[in-house]
Formats: sequence, C-alpha cells, structure tokens
Amino acid sequence: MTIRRLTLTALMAALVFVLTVAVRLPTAAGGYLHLGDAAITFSAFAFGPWVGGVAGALGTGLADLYGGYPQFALISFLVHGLEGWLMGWLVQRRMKTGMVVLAVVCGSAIVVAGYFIAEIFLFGVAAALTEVLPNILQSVVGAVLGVSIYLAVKRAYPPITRYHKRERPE
Amino acid sequence: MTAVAPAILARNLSFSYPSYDGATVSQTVLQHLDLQVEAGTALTVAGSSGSGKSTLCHVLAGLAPRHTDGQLQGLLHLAGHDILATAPSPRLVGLLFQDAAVQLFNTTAEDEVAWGLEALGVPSEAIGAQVMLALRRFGLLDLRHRAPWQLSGGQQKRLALAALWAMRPQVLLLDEPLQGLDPVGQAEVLGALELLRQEGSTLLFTTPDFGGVARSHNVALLEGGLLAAPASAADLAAHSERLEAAGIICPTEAWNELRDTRSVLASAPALEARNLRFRYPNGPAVLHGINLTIPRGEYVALIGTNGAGKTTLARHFNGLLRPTMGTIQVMGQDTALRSTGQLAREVGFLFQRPEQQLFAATVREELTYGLRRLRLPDADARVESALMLFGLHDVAASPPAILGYGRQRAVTLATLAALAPSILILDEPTAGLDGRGRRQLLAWLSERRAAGTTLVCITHEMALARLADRVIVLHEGRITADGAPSEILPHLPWEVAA
Amino acid sequence: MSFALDLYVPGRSWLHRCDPRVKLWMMLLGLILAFRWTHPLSQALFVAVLLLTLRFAGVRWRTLGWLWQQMRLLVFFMLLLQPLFSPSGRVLAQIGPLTLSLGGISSAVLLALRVLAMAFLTGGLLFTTDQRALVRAFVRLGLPYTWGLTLSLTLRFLPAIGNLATTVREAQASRGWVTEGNLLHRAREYHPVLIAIIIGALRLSDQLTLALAARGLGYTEQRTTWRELRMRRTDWWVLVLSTLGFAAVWGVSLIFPAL
Ligand SMILES: Nc1ncnc2c1ncn2[C@@H]1O[C@H](COP(=O)(O)OP(=O)(O)OP(=O)(O)O)[C@@H](O)[C@H]1O
Ligand SMILES: Nc1ncnc2c1ncn2[C@@H]1O[C@H](COP(=O)(O)OP(=O)(O)OP(=O)(O)O)[C@@H](O)[C@H]1O
Ligand SMILES: [Mg+2]
Ligand SMILES: [Mg+2]
Repeated sequence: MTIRRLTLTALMAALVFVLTVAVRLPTAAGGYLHLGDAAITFSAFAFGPWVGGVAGALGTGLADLYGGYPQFALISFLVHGLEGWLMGWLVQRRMKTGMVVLAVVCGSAIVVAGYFIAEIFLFGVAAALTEVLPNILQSVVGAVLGVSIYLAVKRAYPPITRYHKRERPE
Repeated sequence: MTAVAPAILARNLSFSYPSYDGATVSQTVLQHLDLQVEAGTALTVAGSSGSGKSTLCHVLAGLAPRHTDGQLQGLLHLAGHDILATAPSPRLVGLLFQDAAVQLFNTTAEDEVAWGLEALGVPSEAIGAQVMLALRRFGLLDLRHRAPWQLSGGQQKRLALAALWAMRPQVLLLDEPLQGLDPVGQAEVLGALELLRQEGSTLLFTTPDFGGVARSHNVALLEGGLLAAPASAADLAAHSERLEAAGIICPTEAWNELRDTRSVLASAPALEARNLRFRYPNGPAVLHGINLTIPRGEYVALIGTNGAGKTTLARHFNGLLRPTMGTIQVMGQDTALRSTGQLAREVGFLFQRPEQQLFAATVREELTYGLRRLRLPDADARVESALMLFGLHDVAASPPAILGYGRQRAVTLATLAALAPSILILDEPTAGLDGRGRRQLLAWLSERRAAGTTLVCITHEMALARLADRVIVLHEGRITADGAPSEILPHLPWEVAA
Repeated sequence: MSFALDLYVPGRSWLHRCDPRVKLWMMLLGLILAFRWTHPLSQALFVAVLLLTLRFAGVRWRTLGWLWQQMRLLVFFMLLLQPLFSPSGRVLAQIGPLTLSLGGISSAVLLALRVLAMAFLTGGLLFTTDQRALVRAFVRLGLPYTWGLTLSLTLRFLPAIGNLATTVREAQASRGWVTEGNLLHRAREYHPVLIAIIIGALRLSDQLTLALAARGLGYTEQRTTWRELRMRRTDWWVLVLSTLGFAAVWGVSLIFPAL
C-alpha cells in the first residue's frame, strides 16, 4: 500500500463517518437522511474499489460504534464495504453513463438487501422491514448525490484525476 | 583542506506542475535554479505568494515529485546524497510545513515525537529518553499528554520542530515558520530556531515578507521561478524598490493612503451589542457582558491576545453564534430573528482560515456564487472589478483550490469585495499575505473607508490597528480599553513583544 | 457535533488495565454466548451478569445510561413489532391478520435482550480501552502496520473533518447560503458545502501524504514500537479464567439445551 492510498483511505473513511453522523438532511416526514452513501459513492468513483470499500466499511462501522448504534456496526461494516467495493469495481474510474447507472443501482441494492438479510438474522423480521423504505431512499439519494459531487469535484480540484497514477509504487 | 560536501547543492534544477485542463502547457514553477548552502549556515528564501517557496521546500526534502504531481530536472545533492535517485532519510533532511497543524498526526505530543523514531527503527528502550529530551528541549514537557490540536499555534510549531529535531536531520527546511502566529508565538518559535542555528544545523527558511526571520540571515529572492544569488539582509533592505517589485514588501504609500483616507461617519449605529454574554455549549464562558456601539462608517480595530474572544465576538455580528444573554443589533435591527444567510446581505465576514470555503471550479465562479445567492445586480461588473482589485485576472479561469495559500486568501478577499456589503468584518486579514497582497488589501480598505463602509478588523498587526478610527482591546472576554489608537496603543503591555 | 469521538473513559479498574487482546478475546466469547442463549430468561441473566461486570469494572452508571439511551428506541420497536411477525405457541389475541402469541412475545424479548448484550459487550471494550492501545492490539494480532495506521489516522482525523464540515457550513452561510424548501432543493443547496468539505479532505490527504513520507514512513522494514503491549501475569490469569468460565457455561448449556 502506498502512502497516498493510505492517507486517502483514512481521510475518506473519516469523511464517510462525518457525513453519516453530522450532516443530516431533515425530511418532510420528520426523520432524517444521512449522507454517508454520498461519500462512499464519491470515494469509490474517484479512487476505485479498494479505497471505496475500505472507506465505506471503516467509516460507517465506526459511525455506528461511536454514534450510538453499536448493534449495527458489523452489518454496516460489511454492507457498506461491499457497496463501495462493487461500485468502484464496476466504474473503474471511467464515467460511462451505463456503468454509472448500473453501479448506482447495484450499490443501492446491496445496501437495501444486505441490511434486510442481516437484520432478519440479528433482530428479526419486524425490525428488518421497518428499515427497508428509509434504506432505499437513503442509498439512492446518496448515490446520485455522490455521482454529481464527483463530477463537480473533478472540475474544482483537478489533481484528483491523477492520484491513481501515484498510487503505484515507483 | 578536506572537501566537505555542501549541505544543499542544486544545479540547473527545474520543476513544473502538469496543466490540468489538458490544453495549456505545464506550469513551470522553478527554472534552472542554482543553490548552494554550506553545512552549518542559514539562508532565507524570500518570495511573493505563489512564487514557489513551498514547492522548493518539497523538492529539497525529496517529496516532490515523488509524492506530488510534477516533473523535476537537474541535479540535487544534500550532503553528498543524490536526492533525485533515492528518497532521503529523515536523518538527512527535515521539513517544517507551512501549516504545522497538518504535520501532527498523532493523538498526543509524546507519541508525535516518538513516531519518527519508531519509523527509523530506533530500539524501543532508547526511544523514551530521546522523546523526553526533545520535548524538554522545546519546552513542551508539561504538555506531553496533550493532543496536538489542543495546542496553540505557536506550541504546534514547536512540537513539529521537536518531532523533527528528535531525528537529528542534517538539513532543516522551514516553510514560513512564523505564519499566522501572534507576537508571543513568534517569539517562541524564533527562540527555538535560534538554538538550532547555534548547534550548527543547516537551516533554510522561506518567507513571503521581509520581517522576522529574513532580517538575520543571507537572503535569496525567488521571483518568476528564478532564484537570485544570496545577499546579506542589510544590503537588500537598502534596495526597497527591488523588494517591492518582487512583491515582498508593501510600499509605504499604501499605508499612507489608508491613513489619509477620512471615514464617512454617520450617527446611526451599524453594530450594537447590549450586555452580551456567551458560553460555548459544554464549554467555557467566553464573553462576559460586552456593551459596544459601532456607528456606520467607522473603522474599528479589534485586538487582544490569543483566546481573548475576538473571533467569538465577531461571529455574533453575522449570526454564526447566538448570545447566551443580551442582544445584538445590526443596522438597527435585532439579529435574533434572522439567519446568517439573511444577514449576509449586510454583513460580509472574512474567516480566520478562509481557504476552507473554496469549492468552485474557477475563481470567477467562486466570486459569482455569493452575488447569485444574494441576487445582487450587475454581477459581472462587480466580479471583474474585484478580480482587478486583487490581481486575480491571470488565475480567473483556474480552480481556486489549487492556488497557493496567499492567492487563496486573495480570492476570499475578492469574494467579499464583489459583494460590497455595508459592514465588513475581517478576521486577521493580513495573515499569509505577501507585500503585494497587503498593498491590494490596503487599497481596498481605503476605498471602502471612503465609501462609508463600516470596517471591523481583528488583527495582531499593530501597524494596521494604528490606522483605525478606534481601537477596542478585548481581554479574557471583557473590553478593557476602547478609544483612539493614539490613546490606547502606547499603553498596551504586550505590544512591547511585537 | 452530536457524536462521541472517543468512548474511552479513563480509569484504573482491572478491566481498564487488562491487555486489549484479552478484552477482544473475552468479547468474542461473550458474543458467542449471546447467540447461544435461546431462552429469554438465560439471556436476561446473561445481560444482568454483563451489566454487573461492567459496573464493577468501574464503568459509571452515566456511561451505561448513555448506552441505554442510544439503544432504547430500537429495543422498544423490537418489543412492539416482533411479536406480530413470529406467532407461535399459545395465541393471546387476534386482531385482523395480526396474531399476538406467547411464543412471539418470548422471541421478541429474547432478541431485544440479545441486542442489549451485544451493546454491553462492545461498550465494555470501548469504554475501558484507549483507542491507541486497541489499534496496537490489532497490529500485534497480525494486522499489517499500515492498516493499523490507516485506522488510527481515521480516528485521529475525525474531529478535523468534523470541524471542517462546521467551518464550511458557516462560511457558506455567511455568503448567503440558506437551507429551505423541499428535499430535492435542499440536496442541491448542500452541493457547494459538500464539495468544499471534500476538497478540504483531499488537500488534507495531500499534506498528510507529504508529512508521513517526510517523517520516514516505510523507511525501514524493522519498525520499532515505543510502548509495546505486554501480557502481564494477571492478563494470563484473566485469559485462562475467562476461557474456563466460557467452557463451563457452554457445558452447562449442553446439559440444558432448552436454555
Ligand atoms: N499540486 C499543485 N498542482 C498544480 N499547481 C500547483 C500545485 N501546488 C502549487 N501549485 C502552483 O505552483 C505555484 C507555486 O506554489 P507554492 O505553493 O509553492 O507557492 P508559495 O510560494 O509557497 O506561496 P505561498 O506564499 O502562498 O505559500 C503556484 O502558482 C501554485 O498555484
Ligand atoms: N467551538 C468552541 N468550543 C469551545 N470553546 C471554544 C470554541 N471556540 C473557541 N473556544 C474558546 O473560546 C476562547 C476564545 O476563543 P476565540 O477564538 O474567540 O479567541 P480569539 O481572540 O479569536 O483568539 P485568536 O487570536 O487565537 O484567534 C478560547 O479560550 C477558546 O479556547
Ligand atoms: Mg507556500
Ligand atoms: Mg480568532
């Protein structure tokens, strides 16, 4: 692992954490959406499967531990890790429209299905069902926001497009 | 005579960053640079914002282009080691970053110092003693269990120095070591550096202005990618027009212009605080009953030591903080019912670390953002004149986030200039500005002053406070002095340190 | 910011001073047990034992209360809804398609208690262990040093990114940024804020890369550690006793499979 990849992973994980816990969009219904998925999507698109996956896993796992949902930590770790990895792997830093749509759909599907299955196992069907709708909304909004953020950041901070050239050892 | 290899030897060194939009050629920052620094001596490299001082430091430390973008040509030897061929060891060269806070990545001061020794593979038993020695050396022994982010700016720089010194590098590079420090912090860091110099380390400083470190060593000017031959500081000081042209000192006319501009005062108050008390949630009480009326058009300097509560007070005026007790009025209206976004129409605010707000794809868009948000008329003309005012035309189409520190500060100043609000609150506007930036800032302040804008300037720089209509001294959350600069400034005990 | 960045509460109890590797092992055993109990009563007993253990290890009621605060909504919903989904045993009430049964209630209680047990187990580790020691323990257990460093840097830069988010929001607000209107509108309003936060994080990563390289990360393969974790005699005792205790409890549960 190169230093660049190490720091990127650490800071993207911290970013996922903060956007999961701190930036909350209140919804009309009185609940809120967090933006962790936007950060995961961004890291996966910008830096590929490994940074995206590890950042997603670490960031949301820690956010659950420290944000007061320790029982979700392991699920989030696995589900969001897989989400980030898969999105990054599908897109491979090339922004072809078809692949982007596929990645967004697959990423959201993993989140929704992953939580559902894990929660049935851990907490029973009831708790699992109550989570489905918010999860769909959250991961889709998050992923779409993540894509548009990536496009904007690419313009505002061009060095980002060259990071991967330096990720490889000399 | 034994041939000791020079500590730094650069021949024909060129460095360029890639162009990011693909169309234009890459941007050359250093051109055919020759530099030789003998072991045990000190040299200052002075250059304006964006002249490439940080880049030079990164190149000399073997970090660029190894860990950054860019291309490097030429020859570079540190104490006989070829830096371009193999990465230098931390025992060979150490770098104090421009923003020391990001250099500290551990959770306690002692771990910070120990980390480098661990990375070098120093035996575990030997580390403890060396850590304590380094901490004592820089007066940090009592703070060794503190987290780096709980230290003041001056202490952070000293900790970064301690962490470098523990590895005993032969060459120490110091990128703007005094930037953003108050007089006490500056004295702390200068003292620590003086000790290093006496011990015989080779030191290379950079500075964007001609005060502080520049006065005591030989100085080489970095200008347009070219490095001039070193000259003694006294010689250079005699050629002030040369330094002005290089953008390193600010001409006295600019200061005089601001001094000679009359404020256009009106009797109606612009800002009013009544019995203002403030306590941070779960934190300390910071303001203890502030009563203050600032009439429209007045130029007020707000001064005080670190942690006095200046920033806290200022943040009440645009609603970023809400009083725990008491009221705040802006332009005669209570702020309690208005959000920061609504107050932005009247109050412009320059943050202490403004570079964090930059987000747009070009400097021009960055300037347009606030105008569009507030739906102000003739946006284009305002943007153009603000670009002109701060000399930003050449970078108008570049992303602000990749500019150097000083230019980013100019961009944030320009965003305020474009909005031209009737009240301006500037939190330490001169920090990190070179001579040219200062001149632009002073010109803008003069213009605003003549136009009747209310100016509140928080500053550690007494030269700026001296030109104000009124100086307010804040100490531990209370106003301890308030009056004309000529009455207040001579009686300040801590100004002696400045 | 409404989150705890470090749950560690310093103290000198036996659990505090236990080697983090031993604590990890005990947590693992505890989790296995939490999934072993299939009767609400045994699970309740287990939770009670955990609670008392934590209390005697010097974790204050306030801290435990905080944990309960975080958990209670989920526990409440599980108790409320779960009985309706898994009817079994004697039927107590029938309202339309919904059946309230004794078996359903019992399984709901079991699941809720299990979740509480898991929370107390993680709490027991995080409340009594310094983050740095925990990361060091992972490294000693075989996690590559660079991965451990990634984890500690993540933890270290949480407050920095949190502050960055606050500063950016404030800076945008003072340029006329307001959040109002419907969800879509708000998501769009958040755009510049998010971009500025991300750019800030990327620049931090640029700087951090340089800082780590300049301080010699990867300079030598033989990295040393200043304060190496050491298993003391008590640590071995705790390890052996907890393992024996686990085996004994497991044995008992084999004799009474209904528990
Ligand atoms: N990563 C980068 N990619 C492209 N251009 C860069 C990069 N870093 C710096 N530059 C450009 O190189 C030039 C020199 O930057 P540098 O940071 O070395 O200046 P500086 O003299 O340290 O300025 P300051 O006094 O503001 O710190 C600037 O024009 C800057 O825009
Ligand atoms: N967000 C916060 N939470 C808690 N305490 C804070 C916070 N911000 C500042 N403080 C404390 O309030 C006091 C006043 O801080 P403030 O930033 O207003 O000082 P200042 O006069 O602007 O200092 P400086 O010259 O260093 O900028 C300090 O003791 C500081 O530690
Ligand atoms: Mg610089
Ligand atoms: Mg301040």
